[in-house]
Amino acid sequence: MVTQRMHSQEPDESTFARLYELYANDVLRFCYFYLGNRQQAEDVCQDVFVRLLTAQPELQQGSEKAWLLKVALNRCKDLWRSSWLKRVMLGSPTLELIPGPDEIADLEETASVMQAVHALPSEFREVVLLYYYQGFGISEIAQMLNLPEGTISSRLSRSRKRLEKLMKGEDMDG
Amino acid sequence: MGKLQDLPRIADQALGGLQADSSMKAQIIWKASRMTQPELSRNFHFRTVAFVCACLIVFACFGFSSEFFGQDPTVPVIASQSAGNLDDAQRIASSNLDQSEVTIHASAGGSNMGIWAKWSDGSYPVIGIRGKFYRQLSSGISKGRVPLSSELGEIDTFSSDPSLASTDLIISNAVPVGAKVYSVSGMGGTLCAVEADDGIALFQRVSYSGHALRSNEQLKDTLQVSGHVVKMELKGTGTITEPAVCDSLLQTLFSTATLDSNGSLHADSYLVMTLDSGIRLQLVCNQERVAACGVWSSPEFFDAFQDALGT
Repeated sequence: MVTQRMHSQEPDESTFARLYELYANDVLRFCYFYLGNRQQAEDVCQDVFVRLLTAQPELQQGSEKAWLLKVALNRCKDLWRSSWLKRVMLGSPTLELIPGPDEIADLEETASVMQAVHALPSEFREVVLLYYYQGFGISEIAQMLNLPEGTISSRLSRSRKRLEKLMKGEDMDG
Repeated sequence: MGKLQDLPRIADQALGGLQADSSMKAQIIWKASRMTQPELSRNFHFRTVAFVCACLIVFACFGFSSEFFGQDPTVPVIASQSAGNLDDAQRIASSNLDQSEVTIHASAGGSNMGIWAKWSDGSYPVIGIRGKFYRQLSSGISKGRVPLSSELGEIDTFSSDPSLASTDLIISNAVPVGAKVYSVSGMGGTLCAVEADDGIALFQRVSYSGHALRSNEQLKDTLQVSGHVVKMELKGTGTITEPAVCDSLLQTLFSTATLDSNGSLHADSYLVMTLDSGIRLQLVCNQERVAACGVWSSPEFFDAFQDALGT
């Protein structure tokens, strides 16, 4: 006789609400940083959380953010690839900043860093965003991207060098 | 402190006006509620000709059926990895996967990891038939070699993320809209097949993004191969080549398996069942659990397999 231990299939809106409160801004800004397109970033962010609600994945505590960003990253990659021809023909647009209403600091230096990161090749950009922006470790990133840790380390190293060139020799802490 | 180390502060400063607010939250809830309604109008996503052509190009690159179907290579492989070697213009849109898929370590299956290998962009070619998902096994099989049975329907929607679609649809990230999907004679819900330009593409029932069993399904409903298994290979343990013993082991598995989850199994081995038709089904294994559609615990099966090798 086969017995089954079924996991609950009931919607968990409290989990959705909690994770949205915690991570939606991170997901949205991560997507925008990657794509450089606000509408696309908002669409991807919505898709990620719709999926959280409808697919009800089994998320271990502590890994929810990684799951959200991995789903977001995969969607971003789809969109990035689908618009490659447009970028080839028209060139890649500069990443526009969207500062808050109370932001009065000089954003020039901020803009140069943001645009340099956005200008990295996509495979470098994603590891830089996950490592430096979102604070994941190499091991975590390797799991999220299903790549060896050595590859992640290598991409980070090459990203830093590429950024140095993009920033025209400004000090980059490695 | 270097600029990269300061990236979180820099980004918050630069993107502070970008907020996931309550309006977006409401939209998300609304979209999700639409997707879970029982009756949905079908949304036909019209992809460009380039995407459809890219699908066919990728299908053409899957033509390793003669090696996978009927012959006996050392490692069961499918060259889905070749899709990852295509340049951006030739790739089809990839599905949006999370960690709910079965995976297998490279060390367990070699550099070509078998049917559970992902394309290098992290996607799997799948078909979803009203909430049941099937992962591509092989393609380019001549029609006469696969006994097609009833038509299950046509692909309603091509989507880069089938898991986002309503479970009322027949959806795929690999097969174009309009392609007919068939069941395979004698295989029940284990397999489905699609007629492509280069022959038949076979798909095996799997878990996908949290979708596994439907209604009151049990393991045997997803592996309707009783009486058809002629060989079982459990990597790292051995191979059984007596059909009667294989069937006995299969029945042991069906009678003792308990459902662990509808999600993933981080596997370090695999179980390949070769059928009398030559089709090879693949399940991944770890710690006395097997997974294809759902993760199933069955220490009794693994013990019985060992015993069978010893007799």
